Amino acid sequence: MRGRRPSFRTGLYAGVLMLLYSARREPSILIWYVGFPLILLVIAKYIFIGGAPQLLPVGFYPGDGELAGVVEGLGGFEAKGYSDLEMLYRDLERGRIYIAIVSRGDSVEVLYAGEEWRGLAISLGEALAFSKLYGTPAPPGAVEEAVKAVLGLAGVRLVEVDAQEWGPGKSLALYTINLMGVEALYVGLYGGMVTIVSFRRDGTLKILAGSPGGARSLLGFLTGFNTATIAFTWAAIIAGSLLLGADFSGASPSGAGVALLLLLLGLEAVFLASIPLSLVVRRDETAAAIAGIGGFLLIFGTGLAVPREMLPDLLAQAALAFPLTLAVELGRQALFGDIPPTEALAASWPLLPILLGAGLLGFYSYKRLISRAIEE
Amino acid sequence: MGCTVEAVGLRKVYRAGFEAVKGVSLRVGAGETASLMGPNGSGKTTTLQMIAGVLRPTAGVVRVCGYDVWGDGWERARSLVGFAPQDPPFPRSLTGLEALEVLAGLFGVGRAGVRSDAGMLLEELGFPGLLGVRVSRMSGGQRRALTIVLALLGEPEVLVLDEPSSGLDPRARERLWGSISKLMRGRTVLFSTHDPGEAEEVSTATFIFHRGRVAAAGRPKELIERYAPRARVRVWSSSPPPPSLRARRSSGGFAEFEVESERDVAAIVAAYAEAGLPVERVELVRPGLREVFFEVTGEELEG
Repeated sequence: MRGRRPSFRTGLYAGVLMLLYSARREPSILIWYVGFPLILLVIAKYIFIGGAPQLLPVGFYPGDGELAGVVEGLGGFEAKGYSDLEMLYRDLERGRIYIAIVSRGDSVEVLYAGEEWRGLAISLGEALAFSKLYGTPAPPGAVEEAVKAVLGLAGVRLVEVDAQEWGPGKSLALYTINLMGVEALYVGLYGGMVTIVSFRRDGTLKILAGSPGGARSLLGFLTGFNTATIAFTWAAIIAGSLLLGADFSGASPSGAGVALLLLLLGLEAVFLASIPLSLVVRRDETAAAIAGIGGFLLIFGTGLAVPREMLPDLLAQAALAFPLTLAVELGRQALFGDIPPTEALAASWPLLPILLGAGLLGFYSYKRLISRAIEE
Repeated sequence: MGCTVEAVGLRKVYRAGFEAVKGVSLRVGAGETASLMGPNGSGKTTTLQMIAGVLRPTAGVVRVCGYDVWGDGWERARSLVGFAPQDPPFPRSLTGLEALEVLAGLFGVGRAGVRSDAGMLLEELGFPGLLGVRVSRMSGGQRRALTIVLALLGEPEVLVLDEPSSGLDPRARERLWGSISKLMRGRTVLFSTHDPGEAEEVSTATFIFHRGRVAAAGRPKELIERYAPRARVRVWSSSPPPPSLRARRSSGGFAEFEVESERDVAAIVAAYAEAGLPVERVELVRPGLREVFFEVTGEELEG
């Protein structure tokens, strides 16, 4: 065997080997790339994503009154009886319940905690009024029919639509895209800055920088390592998600393809943008700390780990400037066909200038890194 | 077969302003084994790195097989050199074979090549069975052997080794050098060491480094003949030597005198006795590169 020919291809292969061997030997790889996303999945399933829609509690005094049956019969409410009127008021004031119905002889009071509940209080009041006109308790369905009849006089119709069952399984399937974004962020940070800083510290960067084709080989190594890592961790996330009951039925294959492509572009943008950091960070411990803390803040602040709809409005809007958040948002919409894949791709145009900027910055920094490696 | 390595006027000033190498010139003929010998901080490693093409000199020229390492011929020159650094960069959680496959791949050697040659090379170097051992469980010497194998993969024309035997016991060191000379027969080897005995035994040419410069250069025997031709006797005593005697050096509890015959030794011991000075031990010293180092630099070589 003679000769050394470092190239992008040899580096790429070495990067894939590195991931395979490390995953076999290094428990921390499994913890980061399999354990961590699975924990987030479990948290998501039991905390972020609820089960069936919750019933709204409505307080009643006295607790054994007949009106409770009328309100529960409307659907969507859960009667909570009180034997002590003071306690009912206290729970209203403390926000434990938002609406309460108090019977005082022939009259009924509908109490509500703040103006945002006024509309619902009025509807409940109307329903109770109709019920009383019928003579409480009204026969089943009578209140609804009476309300509909009155509304009909004014030309207003209540129409129930057969909505598709969404449920927690679908929500978990959507959240899977978020988690893939979370891992893409970490792979981009660790597979860029942290690996480069570590290579510089142990002298590998110097030897590569001094070899013909070494710079391309290192780039190939990082690409191979990152690609293999992301494939590995995404496979684990999807498998874990299915095991936890994610429902991907009805997902569009081309939408899923677009989601994967956008996530990969987002990962590449993070990877390229992290390279300049390795020019200023000297120790791999510092690099790992920056990636760990920075990644942690980003996953919770940009709508990756905590879904964007849970963020405050301003932050939710600003988060779209982060390439992985945009990729996750469009990927989620494309997955179940909310928007056609071509539209998702077209809407991802802001990724291009971000990628271009990160690419130029990354390329320039990489060249500086390589030339600096043989200077010192 | 073999390559000439030539450095002319090499200088290296680091960014902090520290001048590590101050104008080093050396020439190593094809097929020679050359040692760069000197204490820590004398500029050996910096010089080797500049020769291997992994550290850009501030000034000077390096040629390997006539190709300018830092000029037009850099690609050709660097592809001819295998470099084993002092601190091996292997991932600690991997086994020897896995680490070699990854790093050799990064440096452009295929996996098949590693699988076919690495075991044989390690066995030849005296470290059989290392391929299945995790790097984290290897001793410093074993990791160094792995680094040498990495440098040997790809059959370089020039092998550059930075303190290759550091951490090895004398037997392992002997085996290592026997193997390297066999594996690199006809090709050129440069290595650094702070052990004058190793430089004397192994190298065909020695460059004595002192404070960033080459203080002396030549074949070890020639250097010894030129700078320390006569035998020496070392007298260990708690007192300084009597004024009647002229010591070559006096430090660390002994005084050293040049002698030509046994009669000279007897005269020295008698002079101590006449002056009433205690003599703990008398030792005859065969002059070597350690003495050469002292003669050319005026300083003791530590260790």
